[in-house]
Amino acid sequence: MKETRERAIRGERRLARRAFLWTGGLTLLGLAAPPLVRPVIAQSPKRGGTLVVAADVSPPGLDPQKSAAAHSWMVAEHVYSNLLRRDAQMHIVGDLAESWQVVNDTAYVFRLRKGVTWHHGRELVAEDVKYSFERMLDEKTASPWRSNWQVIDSIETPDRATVRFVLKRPFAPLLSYLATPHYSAIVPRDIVEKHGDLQKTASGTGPFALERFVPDNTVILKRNPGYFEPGLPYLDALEYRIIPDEAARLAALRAGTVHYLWSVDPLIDRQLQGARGVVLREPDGYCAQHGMAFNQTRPPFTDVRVRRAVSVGINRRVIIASVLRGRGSITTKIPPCDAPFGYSGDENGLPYYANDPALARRLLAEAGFANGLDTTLEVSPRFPQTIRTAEVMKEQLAAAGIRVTLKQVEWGAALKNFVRTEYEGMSMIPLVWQPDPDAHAYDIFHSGSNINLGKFKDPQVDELLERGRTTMERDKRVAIYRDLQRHMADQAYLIFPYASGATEVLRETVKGYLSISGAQPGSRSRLFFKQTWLDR
Amino acid sequence: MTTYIAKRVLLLIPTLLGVSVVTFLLIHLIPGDLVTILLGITASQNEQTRQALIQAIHLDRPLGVQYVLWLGRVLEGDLGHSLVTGFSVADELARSYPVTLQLALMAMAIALAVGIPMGVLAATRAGRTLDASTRVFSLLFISAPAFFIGTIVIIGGARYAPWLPTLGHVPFSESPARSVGTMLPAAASLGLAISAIIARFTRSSMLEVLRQDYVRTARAKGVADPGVVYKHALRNALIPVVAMAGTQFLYLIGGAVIIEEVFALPGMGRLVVNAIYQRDYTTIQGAVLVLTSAAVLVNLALDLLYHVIDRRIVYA
Repeated sequence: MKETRERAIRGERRLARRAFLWTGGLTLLGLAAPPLVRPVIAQSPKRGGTLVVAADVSPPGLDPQKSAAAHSWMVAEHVYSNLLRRDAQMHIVGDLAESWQVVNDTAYVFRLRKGVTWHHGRELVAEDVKYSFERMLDEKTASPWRSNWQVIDSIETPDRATVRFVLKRPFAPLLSYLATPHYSAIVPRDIVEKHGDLQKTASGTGPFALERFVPDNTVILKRNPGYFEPGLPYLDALEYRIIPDEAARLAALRAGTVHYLWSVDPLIDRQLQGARGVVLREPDGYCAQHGMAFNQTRPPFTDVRVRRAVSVGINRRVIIASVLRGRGSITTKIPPCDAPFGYSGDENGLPYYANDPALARRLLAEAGFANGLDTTLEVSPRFPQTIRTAEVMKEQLAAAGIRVTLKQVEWGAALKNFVRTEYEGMSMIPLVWQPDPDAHAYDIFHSGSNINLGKFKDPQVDELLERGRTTMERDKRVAIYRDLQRHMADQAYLIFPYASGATEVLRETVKGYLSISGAQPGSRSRLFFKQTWLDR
Repeated sequence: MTTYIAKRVLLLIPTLLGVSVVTFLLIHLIPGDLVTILLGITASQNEQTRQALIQAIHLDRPLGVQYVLWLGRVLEGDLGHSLVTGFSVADELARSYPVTLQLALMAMAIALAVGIPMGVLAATRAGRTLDASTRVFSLLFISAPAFFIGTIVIIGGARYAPWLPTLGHVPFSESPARSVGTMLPAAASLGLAISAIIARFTRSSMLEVLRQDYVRTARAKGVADPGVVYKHALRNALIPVVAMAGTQFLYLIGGAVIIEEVFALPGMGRLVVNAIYQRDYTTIQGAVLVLTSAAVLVNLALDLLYHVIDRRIVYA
């Protein structure tokens, strides 16, 4: 048996970039912008106080196993614990698990911490872990995460502190999924059975316990004095105040009634000009992508030359400079923040990524569109950034001989059309960060998946996806996903104009704040309020 | 009169049935589907997961069956649970409707308290400076949308009076004083816009009444000016104003979505709009029942109010 300090997704972020963002990034923000925070922890933390977060959307329920919404996780991740978690460097470390062993490719054993109690007082036992996964696998729960865990053959609990997972086949993303808060929160059976679900109630083993949840108004969490990490959290309470309007959120932050918010608006620094006591925090890495799919069930996009013409017709660098004001990067579906799997070079490092209108025209002519091509691009006004991106792309593609008509569609319809390939020509939406390259790619690229984006079929892609999923050795896995990204770019099955992030805005009094890159559009994959404190 | 009221209230039943059928059909006509929205693109949309969800919320049954199932439960007094959150629809309505009602009543009170005196003053001083300045006020508030005024109030408040509570919500049942206080900026933003319209209406209606013979007679009899204006003229001038204010109030009790968004009030407007975005059929249906009932009852109350103002208006 091999003791693993497995660091499956080691975030080997290049130091150069981080240093740049922490210090030199100021120049990106314009002249009068508030200063950036530096991760210097010189003072010793103070206990107490309530930190108020301004959130744009109310959580549509708090059950981590039922809600697929980022606004549910922002609360749940402070209430529940997982077997594993990621630290600020994206290393996988133990959370409820004190240690773990990979017995073989299909068997994992976890030893639980001793003396962990639920917020309602009962002690955590191995049976709770088993129950949590079985609840997600139960069809009646209708959990959005069910398919993630179908690889589990059985879960055994030889004693109160030991959990043994047996898998149906080797599954490389397992540890990464177990460290992802929303995929694998451990929930208490007695509370679920008492209330039916955990949508309005909560009891976890995390640093904060639910005090009050009033939909569309507020979520209040109070400090869990029995939290298993001694001394944490520093705050007495954490409040999420739901303020849908961005101007109102910013005003509340200026007035000091809220301490923290995030924004995807690239002009956020201008809006906060002259605000006192406010600090902007740039994302540690760009994780949220935009994705444009082609309807490949019919011409013209069944022809690789036409798709390549679109790929070289757009100028990714200009889109990043104009729409994102430079705060973004070239990406594939696996974004640069997912080092070492993600692509992190410029547009010359991948086939058909560099802008070349002349080549686009030549490719179109070869495909029989010497006089250019008319097509549509479906976007939703729910995300203004998508519209701005589409407008710039439309201009760029016109120069390459592709005349695009933008079609604005209500979000519910746009999402459905995108996922099911029910649009005319092209469709673009914001895509979210996923905890593993397999989670990023498998379901939307595999020919056998019913959400294959664009309905393309490529045996080579399928083969790479299967190998990526079952190859346990990390260097080999990295090579597989590099091949996949290159091949996807060469075939231009999908277009990823950029990866971007959200800017966080904090009051100066907020100290010790960290977040893991891995942004959902508009929020973070994990906020670290448990070691945050207020310097009052 | 009592029979009239009873008839009007009984009419509520066919109205509610009709409206619920129409909304039910309309919701299903909107493109986009609940399951995709619920699972999101993050949840890999494995067919089994989809099917399990579809069955769990009965979306696999024919439309007619879904409607009858829903209606049956409603007749038993159960509005069901939100398809998105699983929350009880009745609880959600009980939580959000008082917010909307309070906002509507406060806004209307402000609108009437500001608009009617302003309109009367403008009419009695027609063509003078005061009249001109009320016109400027009215034009400003009629043309500037309430959300714009609201945003200015919030930003200005944060900048110059950060101690003022401009955001968030305290339920009336928890602390009436704080509840009214925190809602005041929102109610004022809405109310002032309506007061501008009311002022214009009152002014023209007053001018017309003041030209009537009976007003001249009253003056000839030697009734003092305030008596003529407030006792004789205003009462008759109010009828069109009440009709207009009534329509405005009907809009307000439907939920002032944008103001609720701007001031972060957890009211009915936001509940319904979010439910529509998410195709949350049960919540929409429940909300429509409540809103329709409120509209019908407010309409009835308005009709009765005409009778109070002018005893010659009688319903049989």
